[in-house]
Amino acid sequence: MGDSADVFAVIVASRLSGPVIWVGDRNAVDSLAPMALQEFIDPARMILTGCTTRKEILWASEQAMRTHGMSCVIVELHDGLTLRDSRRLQLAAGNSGCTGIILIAGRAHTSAAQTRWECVASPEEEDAKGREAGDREAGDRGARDRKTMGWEWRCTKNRQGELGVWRLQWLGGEDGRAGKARAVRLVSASAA
Amino acid sequence: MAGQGKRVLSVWFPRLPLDRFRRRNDPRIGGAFAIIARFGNAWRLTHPNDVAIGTGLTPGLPVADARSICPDLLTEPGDPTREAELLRALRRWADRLSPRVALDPPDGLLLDITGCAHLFGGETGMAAHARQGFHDLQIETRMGIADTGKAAWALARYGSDRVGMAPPGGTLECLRPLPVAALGLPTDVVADLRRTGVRTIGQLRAIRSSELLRRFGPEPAQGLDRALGHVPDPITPQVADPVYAACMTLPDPIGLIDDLVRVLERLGDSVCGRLQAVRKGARRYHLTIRCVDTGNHLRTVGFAEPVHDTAALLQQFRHALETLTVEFGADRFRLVADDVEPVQSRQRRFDGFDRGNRGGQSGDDGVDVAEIVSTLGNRLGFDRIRQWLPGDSHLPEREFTSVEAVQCARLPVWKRSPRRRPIRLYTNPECLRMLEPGRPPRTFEWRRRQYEIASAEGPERLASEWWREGVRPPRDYWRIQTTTGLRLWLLTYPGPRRSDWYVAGRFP
Repeated sequence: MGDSADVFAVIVASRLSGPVIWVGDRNAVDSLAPMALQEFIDPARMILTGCTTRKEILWASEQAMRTHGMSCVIVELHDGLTLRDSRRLQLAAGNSGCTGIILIAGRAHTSAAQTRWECVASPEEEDAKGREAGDREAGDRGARDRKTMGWEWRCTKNRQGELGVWRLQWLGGEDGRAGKARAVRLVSASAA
Repeated sequence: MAGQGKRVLSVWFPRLPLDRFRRRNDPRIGGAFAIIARFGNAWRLTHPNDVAIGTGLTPGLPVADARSICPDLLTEPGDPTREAELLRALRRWADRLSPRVALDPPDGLLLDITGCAHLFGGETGMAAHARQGFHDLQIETRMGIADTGKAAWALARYGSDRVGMAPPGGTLECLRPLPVAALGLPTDVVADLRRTGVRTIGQLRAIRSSELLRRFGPEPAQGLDRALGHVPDPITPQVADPVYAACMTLPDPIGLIDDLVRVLERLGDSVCGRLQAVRKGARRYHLTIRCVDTGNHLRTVGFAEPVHDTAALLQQFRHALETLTVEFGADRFRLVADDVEPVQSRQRRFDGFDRGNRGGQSGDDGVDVAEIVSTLGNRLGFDRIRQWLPGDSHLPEREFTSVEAVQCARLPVWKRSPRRRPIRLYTNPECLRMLEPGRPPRTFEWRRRQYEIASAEGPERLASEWWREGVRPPRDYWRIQTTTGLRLWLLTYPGPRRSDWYVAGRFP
């Protein structure tokens, strides 16, 4: 849930290896842009599935989750799953060992999911030291790159653990593929 | 003399493109209709039909002139690929006449019928049989039979009869009255010959070949030699494209799903067995089911990679069979493999499936990825399963393209984008309602929610690509951050007039 839920899904998927299938409404899938995604994940790993009805989305995501070797399936839905649908998906994912992430834009119903997260973007913060350095170096361009994206991830349901709120900052992966890993920094955490 | 005793049948399909439409029962064929093609800058008629010829149209006429002569004329551009396909299909049919059949593109076949003609009751009988066969296929033909391929070709195209026949050894006598163009000479040579008064092959034959060589170059003398068999003119038969298909007809109709699956399994074993033997697989399979009451039903499944495995076939066909309504049963089944390609088998890893392959540099998909792409594609349509390819442009909507995952043979390599781009890019930027003006607007409403800007960066001005058609006005993009933390990409069009603001995308 939340407006930055897709970033959460992409960051989780980037921690896993293997193909990622993104299932969703046709318009929603079409609006995804790989240029920004590639900061988090290699876009070549993604397979997009555009569906027209909710039934198709559910069927496609269940098929994808059943597949052996699938590392992550991201499902984009408007309203949350019912208990029965989510249990079906959970069984499918449990057998193949893939991670299923369901992005909900509207209402979340009671579901069989293990955890539920709410993700919102938090205002960009400028690293004080970086800012000065940037000013001295090249000015505008440098300063812009110093800014770090941040999110607030709130775990609102967890069947096996504790709830909590995490604030994250993107350290970026300047040379993401080769050297430095794409990393996030945990800024602060507080138990709810 | 080379090719002693050899006999060649040349079949010409003078109206192959028109016949293609006739076979499809195109309603336009009833009126004035013509196939056209582009020569240089002009569209010209290539194959007018009888009605069109009746109104005075001739092949080679520009389409504009033809329209003024016959205002009812309907035209269709020729399709060389489909015509070549039809020609190959006719080649397969012609296999019954002779084992050595060669294509004679664009619209003919050459058959070496040495020693075959007696099976059809002589050459006349064979020609009649072939004519009738092609007529049944709704294809118009002209034929020539002679000692050499060249002579048969000339008789078929320039002879006065529908079946021109030169008796063994009598090639020259039959060719004598034909025009020189029947030797297949280049048009400029034919024009040169005509200017000097040489119109028929007989006249050409009367000139000494050394004279011919000096005046007109080597072509006329060579053409004559090949037509008369002084120089070998072999026919190179091609092997027909193999068809991987199996058919089963049952004495009594069946209708239970298990029975249908069993039938499909047997057909699949037969087709896949043959494919396996040549290490090939098919990317598409067509199954035609004839129901006793409702006629033929065609079901097609596709695969993300070539497959010759009956189990995979059954799995993909199961849904297609389940949606088929068979009320009184079906009694005839035909399975055809299409898009046949070589199969590359890959060694699997010890743990059973090749997991991280897709993320790596090697560029080959894991087996299971192909399977899920086929499964999803067969149900939803392969155009819905897509993958991104990097594009080379500075415009945000053209920085990437998406292609069908089935067609994406190699994994693309992405290089880092020099610009910061949104994670969601709205193809149609959504107009926002400005509440407090500014540049960018200080407060605005978007998707029924109010936002206040905390910080903004911009503008980033992008001009359209001048080397493309349809130049569009330049655009100004602003990266803004709202007080709630949402990062948006605003778009406006610069200019003297105040323009609206749009939300073009959302940043991660």
